[in-house]
Amino acid sequence: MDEQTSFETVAPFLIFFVYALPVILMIGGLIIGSILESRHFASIRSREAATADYPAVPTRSWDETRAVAEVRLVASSVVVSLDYFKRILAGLRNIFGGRIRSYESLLDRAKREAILRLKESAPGFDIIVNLRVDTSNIASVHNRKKGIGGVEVLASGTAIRYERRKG
Amino acid sequence: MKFVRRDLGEAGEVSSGGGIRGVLVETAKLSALGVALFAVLYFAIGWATGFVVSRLSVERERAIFSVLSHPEFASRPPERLAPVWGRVEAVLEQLRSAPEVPALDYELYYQDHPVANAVALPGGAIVLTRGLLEALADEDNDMALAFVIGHELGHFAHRDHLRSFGRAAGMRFALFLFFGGDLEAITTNATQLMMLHDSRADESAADLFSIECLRTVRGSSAGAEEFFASLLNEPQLPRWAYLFSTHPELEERIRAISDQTLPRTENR
Amino acid sequence: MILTNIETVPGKRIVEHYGLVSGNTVRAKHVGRDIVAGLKNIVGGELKGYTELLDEARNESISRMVAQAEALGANAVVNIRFSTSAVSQGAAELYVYGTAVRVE
Repeated sequence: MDEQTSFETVAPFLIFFVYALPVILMIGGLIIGSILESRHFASIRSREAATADYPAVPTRSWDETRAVAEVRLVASSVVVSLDYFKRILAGLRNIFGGRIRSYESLLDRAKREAILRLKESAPGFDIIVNLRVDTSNIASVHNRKKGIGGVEVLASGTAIRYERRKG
Repeated sequence: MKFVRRDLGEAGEVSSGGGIRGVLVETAKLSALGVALFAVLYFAIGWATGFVVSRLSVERERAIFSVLSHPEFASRPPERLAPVWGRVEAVLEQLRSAPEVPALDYELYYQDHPVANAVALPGGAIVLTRGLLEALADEDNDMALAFVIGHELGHFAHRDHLRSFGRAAGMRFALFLFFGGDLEAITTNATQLMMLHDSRADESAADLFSIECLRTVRGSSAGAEEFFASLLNEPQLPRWAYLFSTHPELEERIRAISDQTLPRTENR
Repeated sequence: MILTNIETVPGKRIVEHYGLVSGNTVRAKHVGRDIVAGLKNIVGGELKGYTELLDEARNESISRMVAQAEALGANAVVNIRFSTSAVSQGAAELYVYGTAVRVE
C-alpha cells in the first residue's frame, strides 16, 4: 500500500504539471510579452523620429544634383518569436481563419526594427536606396513539434552619403 | 529626386496590434468560438458513435476486433498474484455463461499499476491492474472479485467500451483534422476528458448489471457493498481529482447499489 | 493614387519623395479551405480557396500602404514590391512596400 500512498501524494503534482504549468506559462508569456512589446514600440517610435531625415526607400534613384561622397552596402536582420499565449491564439485562428493581429504586430515590429538597424549600421549617411525587406520562417520546418516559431526579417540596401556643401 | 521629410502619424501604426486589450478581446472571441465548436463536435461525435455502435452486432464486433492483441499489457501477472489470477479466470468462466453476457472472446490482461482499476476494451479484452488484484487477493473477497468482473461484463453488454473507444477515436481524428497535430497537449487532454467524463452514468449501470448477473448465476449478490466499503477505507484522491478520473466517487456508487439490493434482502 | 512597380510614373515627373510606405497583413486559412485543399492536393491544380485568400490579404496590405502614402500627402507610390512568406503553419504574411512620391 506504500506505493499507492506515494502515488496519491504525487498525483496533485502530476496534475499541476499537466494542467497548471501550461496555464502559468501562457499567462506569464502574455503579460511579459505585452510589456516587452509596448516598450519595443516606444523605442522604435523614438528612433524613427530621430532618423526621420534619413530615408530608406525601394527606389534606385537619389538626389543627383548633389555629389556623392560614399556608397556602402548595408544589411541587417532581426529574428523574432511569438509568445506562448499568442501562438495558441494563432493556432485557434487556424481553425476559423482571418487576420492574426498578434503576428501582424510582431512582424511590423521586426520590420521597423530591421530598417532602423539598417540606418544605424551606416550612421552619418543620407539615404538608403534599393531597400529590400524579406521575411522567412527559420523555425525547423521538418520537425514541427520543436518549431519555435522564429521569423527572420532581413533588410538590405545601398547607403549613400552626399558631399557636404561648403559653408 | 529630392527627399522631403513628412510625418506618417497614426497611419504608421495600423499593424501594431491593440496591445494587451486587443489580445484579450481576441482571446475571448476565439475561445467562445472554440467552445462552441467543441460542443458541436462533442454531440456530433457522441451521436455518430451511438449510431454506429447500435448497428454493430456482437458478432461483427468480435470479427473486427479479434485482430487486436494488446501488446501494451501483459497477459499474466507476476507469480505472487497467480492464485488470485486463477480465481479471476474461474469467475470469468462462470459469469460468461449468464444469458445476458454477450458472446465475445474474453481475454484477461494485466497492468502493473498501483491504483485499483479495471478497463473493458473493444473485442473482449479486460485489463486488471496490480492494485485491484492486490485488493482482491483475500479469498473471502470472492463475491467482490465476481462483482468487479461482472461490472466489466456489464460494460460489454451495454456497449460502453465501444462507445468510449469510438468517441475518443472520433474526437482525436476531428481535433487532428482541425489542429493538424499542433497543440498536442490540448488535444490529448481534451480527448481524455471526452472519454472519461461521459462514463459516470455508465459506471452505475454496469454496477447494476453486475448485481443482476451475480443473482442469475450465483443466486445472490451479497458482498459487493462490503467490497466497496473496504475500498472506501483506503486513502482517496482529493475530491477535485475526480474530475480527471474514470470512475464516479465510491460513495455515490455504493448508494446506488444499496438502493438496489437492500429492499430485496429485507424481503428475504 | 498611382501605383507602379518601376522607378517612375511614365508620362509624369517625380517632384519629391517622402520615404518608405508599407502595409502588411497576416491571414490564417480556415479548416474548411484546408480540407478542400488537402483533397485538391491529390489531383493538383489551382487551390482556388487559397488564391482568393491571398488576393484578399494582398488588397488589404495595399490599402494600408496607400493609407500611409495619403497621410504623407503623396499622390503616387513607385517601385512597389510584394513579399509573401509563411510565418507559421497555416498563416501567411503579405507585405507590400514602395516609395511615396509626388508627381506632376
